[in-house]
Amino acid sequence: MLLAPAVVLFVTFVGWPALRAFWIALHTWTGFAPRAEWVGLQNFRLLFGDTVFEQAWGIAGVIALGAAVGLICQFFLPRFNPLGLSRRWLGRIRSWAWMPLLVVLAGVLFWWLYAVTDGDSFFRACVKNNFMYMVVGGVFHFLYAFLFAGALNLPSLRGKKFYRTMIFFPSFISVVGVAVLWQRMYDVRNGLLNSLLQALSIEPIEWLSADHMFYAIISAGVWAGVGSQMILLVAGMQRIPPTYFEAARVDGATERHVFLHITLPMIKEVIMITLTLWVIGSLKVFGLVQAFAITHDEKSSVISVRQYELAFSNRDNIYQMGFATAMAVVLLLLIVILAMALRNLRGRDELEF
Amino acid sequence: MAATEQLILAATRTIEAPFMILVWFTVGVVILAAAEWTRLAVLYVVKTLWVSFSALAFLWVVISSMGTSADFVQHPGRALTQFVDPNCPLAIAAAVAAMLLVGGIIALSCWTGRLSEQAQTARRISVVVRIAMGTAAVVVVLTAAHANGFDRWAVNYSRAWSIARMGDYMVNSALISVGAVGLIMLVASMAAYALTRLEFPGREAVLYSFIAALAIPGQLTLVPLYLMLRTWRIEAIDFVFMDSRFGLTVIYAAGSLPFTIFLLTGFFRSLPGELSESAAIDGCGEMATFRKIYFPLAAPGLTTAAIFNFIGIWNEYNFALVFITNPELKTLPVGLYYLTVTQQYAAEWPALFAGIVILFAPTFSIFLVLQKQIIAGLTLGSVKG
Amino acid sequence: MRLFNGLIAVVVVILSGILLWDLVQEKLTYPGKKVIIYAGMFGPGEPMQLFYAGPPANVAPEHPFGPDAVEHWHALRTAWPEVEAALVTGYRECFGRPLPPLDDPDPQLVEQYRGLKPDYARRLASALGRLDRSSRLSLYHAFARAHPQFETEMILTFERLHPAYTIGAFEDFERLHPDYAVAQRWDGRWVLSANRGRFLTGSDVPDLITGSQAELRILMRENLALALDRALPPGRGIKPEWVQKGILDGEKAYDDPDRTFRSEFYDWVIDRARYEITPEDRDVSGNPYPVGQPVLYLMPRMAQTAVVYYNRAHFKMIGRDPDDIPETNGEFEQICRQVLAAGKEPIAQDGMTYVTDWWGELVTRIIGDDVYRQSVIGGLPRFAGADADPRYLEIAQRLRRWRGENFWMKGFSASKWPGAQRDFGTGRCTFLHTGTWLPTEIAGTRSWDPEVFDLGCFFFPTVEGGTGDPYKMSCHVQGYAVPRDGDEHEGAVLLLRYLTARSQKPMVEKLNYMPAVKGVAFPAALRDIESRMVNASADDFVSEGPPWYSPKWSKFVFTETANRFFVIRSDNSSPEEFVEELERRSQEHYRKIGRGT
Repeated sequence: MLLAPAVVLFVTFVGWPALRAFWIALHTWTGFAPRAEWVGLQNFRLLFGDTVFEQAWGIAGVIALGAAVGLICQFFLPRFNPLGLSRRWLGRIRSWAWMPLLVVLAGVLFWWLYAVTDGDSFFRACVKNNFMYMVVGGVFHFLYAFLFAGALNLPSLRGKKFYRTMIFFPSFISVVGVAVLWQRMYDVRNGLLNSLLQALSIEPIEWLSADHMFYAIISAGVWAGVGSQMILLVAGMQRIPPTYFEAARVDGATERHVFLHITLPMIKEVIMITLTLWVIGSLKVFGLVQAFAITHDEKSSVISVRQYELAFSNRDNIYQMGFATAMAVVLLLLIVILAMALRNLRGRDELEF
Repeated sequence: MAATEQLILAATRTIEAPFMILVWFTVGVVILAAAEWTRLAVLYVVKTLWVSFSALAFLWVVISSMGTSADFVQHPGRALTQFVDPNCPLAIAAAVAAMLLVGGIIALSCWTGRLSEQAQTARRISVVVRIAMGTAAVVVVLTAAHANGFDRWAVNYSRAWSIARMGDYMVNSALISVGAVGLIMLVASMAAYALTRLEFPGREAVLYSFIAALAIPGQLTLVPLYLMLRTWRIEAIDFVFMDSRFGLTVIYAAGSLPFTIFLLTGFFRSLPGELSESAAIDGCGEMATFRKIYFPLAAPGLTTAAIFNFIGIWNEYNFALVFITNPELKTLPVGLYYLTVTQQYAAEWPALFAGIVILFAPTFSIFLVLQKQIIAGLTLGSVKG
Repeated sequence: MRLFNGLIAVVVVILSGILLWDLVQEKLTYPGKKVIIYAGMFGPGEPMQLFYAGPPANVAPEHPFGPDAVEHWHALRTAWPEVEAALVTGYRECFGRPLPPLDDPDPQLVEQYRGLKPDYARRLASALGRLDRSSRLSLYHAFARAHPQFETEMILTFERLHPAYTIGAFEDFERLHPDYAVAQRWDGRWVLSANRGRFLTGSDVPDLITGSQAELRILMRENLALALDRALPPGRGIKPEWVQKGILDGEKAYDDPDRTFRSEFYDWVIDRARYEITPEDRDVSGNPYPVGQPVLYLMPRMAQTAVVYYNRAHFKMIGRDPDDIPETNGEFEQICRQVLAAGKEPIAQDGMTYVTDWWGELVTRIIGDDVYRQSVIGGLPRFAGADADPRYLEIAQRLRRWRGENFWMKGFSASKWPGAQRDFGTGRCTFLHTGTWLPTEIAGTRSWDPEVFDLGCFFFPTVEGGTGDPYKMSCHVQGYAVPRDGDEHEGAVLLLRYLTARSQKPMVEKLNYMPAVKGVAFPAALRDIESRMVNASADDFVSEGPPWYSPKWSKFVFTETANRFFVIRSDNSSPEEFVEELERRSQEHYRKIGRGT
């Protein structure tokens, strides 16, 4: 049948290994010889520490509370309106309640993971780094994407295509290229940035020292990623029928008002898509971080890099494929939870005119 | 007040200076952009700064790759500072000429933008002239650099190409990308067609399982695949999947399936359904209907998907890093990383830059040529979601 | 219709093309020969060796074809006028500037060069300035065949000996044993990782694999390597002598039938290359080992020890006799202060590499290697708390004091390896603590001006009042292991014997590493420590350290804690915090993973 080859390929190379991963996470395996030792949940216990069960109820309670607040704002308030809020406010709460809900959910999740993984402090640091990448990187990502999208949308701007090309190009090239390029630029002795600083008679800065390395990586990531977000936002903005803008202008609205109340809601769909992609992508980020340095200490490592290091590199003569797979399983759970949350929030949102 | 200070200090401590400077800069930009009368200026300034920085970075890489290592170690910024060095009138002239040419390109594109659609010849001439001016700018800058001692490009690039094997890597990358993309297009188009046009039990389940698989991170399947591949071999010809390009190609094809099917189902849904009915009347089976009618119709969507898959696989790093360890079979991104690692020992930075340029060049050319299609494809994908 | 079928055809063609090419890749044809697969680190085909732009400008002028050996160039040019043009371009290619003129080259030199065979002279001229492996190889080949008496000297022509030597040795071996062929695979720094897939699949496993003792230990544990000093069970490729006595004692030295193979090596090196059995280990046939007897699995090729290198020029600068090495730590600190006062920086260091070596050395000198081992594997004394040895804290405080006194070079936290080596070699810093591979590694980037940089070394000085091991040295061994699943054991062992033969020793000398084989002189820069090393016995060395006997503790507990202490970060721990954290995390480690892991 037509479908057969796809299903076969998929199941063999994606589906079955994914299931197998759970099985491997329950073993200790060096990856040299076929023998793998069954250790049960020990890998997870090593990751999470023993307090997970004690804390589970408390955490579940907080999550339930946050979900309840969000649900109340979404559904019950508009329906029953005990506080007597005006329709406008209700509409606002309803359409924007997903944002704080998401933030609360993500925050709680990471806080829980952070507090609870007292088993492996390196892993905990990696989780924190992933979170920082998502939040800090995401904020700057979206800020600049909006700025540039807004700029590209201005009718009076000259040379749009040139700007668009230059900003989008870094999204297109391999993350390794970006990582190596920026690593060279950040170099203390021979880097572009420090040469520029020297030309301006400023002291050279140690960009890649332990403190700064991760933010250097985030900056490189933002530089590379803004382009694709910008393109999507621009496309979304251009799809808004100009009648809305004309009507608003006739009504005498300022540009800012137009932006906040017309543009933003109408591109909400696009924003949700890019947000989902960003969230999932930032949890999976590997190439950019790994290619930046040969070794990563806990301040600059992320989950996937740590997992790769433990499973495949032998700098310290420790070969732990089972443990690394356990980490990957946790990563998967994180992604699935966040993706499901995003989907649900998206699904419940409808634009009201 | 001390408490507030402490709090602010703690808040700012999480992001270390000098990156705090960037943070404050962004905050300032956002605030200014919100205000009415500074908005235009601020947006212009930010855009220009960003684009200039990117351009400077690329220029630095390209020009440094043409120089010697000793020179680079002593004066790393010389690639750029030569253009403002008062002792180097040729370079300054070249910089000025290049800026004039770029300004001319921008002005010409504005003028072209104002032309009506009918002014065909004028548009075409404008395009040609712009390309010529761009080439002239590049030539001028590179010549000036060459005259100032950045004349070892032949040695550096040939070293990166043959000795550092970037040429081999590029061939490997090309082979793997084309093979995987071809396979994916075949398989995914058939699957997408079956999932949207044909009725059979379990269709929804299969479709949703493909879409759900989008969330599976590559890292999860990495170790099990590693374990799995060890048993896959053909004894007779002593072929092992593990360290081979063929294995990697197939893995890439399988890995890109969820996303491509997702993209293509959206596309196939938009095609008219009456054609299949008319084909059925003509006595064609499912397979023939697909092959004769829908496949050619879906060509634009397929090309978009093909381009994205190609770029994704060309740039893919994680799997290639793990599965291929034979130095002769590596792909381009892994090769560049490997080059960086070995450069730690040898410190031949210009050759590393040559490697970076070799990495960027094919993507850049594809980008230039297919720009419209790529951007259209991106936006198309976003809408169909 | 045609479109789809066309696509199918194209895809099938491409995929089968890839498949075929992959198949062909593996089959390097050596018809009629037995193939020994050799997995090494860096070879002449690797960028590391060949990004060497000819002999660098600052190479010592004793090389016959260095940039300043202008007489040699001109002598060759006079002897062979037909290659003049190639010579001139070659010089320019190598050194980036035109050949300086010389009117009258030394006639004796010219005569010497006239003695070359014409074919070789032509090839020499055409290979000068060429950087690719095949030119140099064919040159070496041609020369070796034509002028065996010059072989040793002419090797030096091509910048580093290492690649030419290794390749040359293999080609030599193939010449002497025509029924063997050596397939070389250069797998980068982490050879074992690169070959892991092959071990896992059991196919295409190398016959000889290079690595350090700690790296290759996993092969022993997983029953993947042959034991070299035990009787082996009979099997394919196992010679009868090995069934009796094992490889090391069953074989004879390559060019002396009266000596055993074992006798080629220093005793302490052989002692080092052993692996201590654990009850879970199994030998080649799956039987447990006799308890209490370590197994030798690594044929040593190179030994390393850690020394403190110093710049003799700086000693002169502060008015100290360059041969007057500091005997105690107090003197060492005093020298550092004097260097600081003179405006240079005392200690070169990279941020995260080798930074904990200083801790290790001080612990050895003050507390002692055995005591430290007890602390690490979970016994007494502890690092902090009630059962602690207070000297751990003192050592941490001492190191923090050193940092406070600016002993470490400015900006060391952001420096990435090998930045410190380069800075040291260009005369910025006085001291550098690293292994004996340094002279070779900085040969290309160091300054050869004795006023700027002059290399010397000494072992880490004793500490006044320390009760540890005042004179013990460290030692790491690097060598070859013979994987069990390789196809050609006999050939592998023959190659090993050949590489350690007497005839190869002059070549080994020029490798500039500390040799593991007797009868080879030490590199010039390491002459200071030669006598102690040559006359050492196994008791003169400390153990390999925590990375050897407690790798998990070392990676998961020590490295992270140490990073927070040594590297300059915003959340630097104080010495007290350092030892407390070390203790706390060690206890957690013992609880969760176990002691002595």
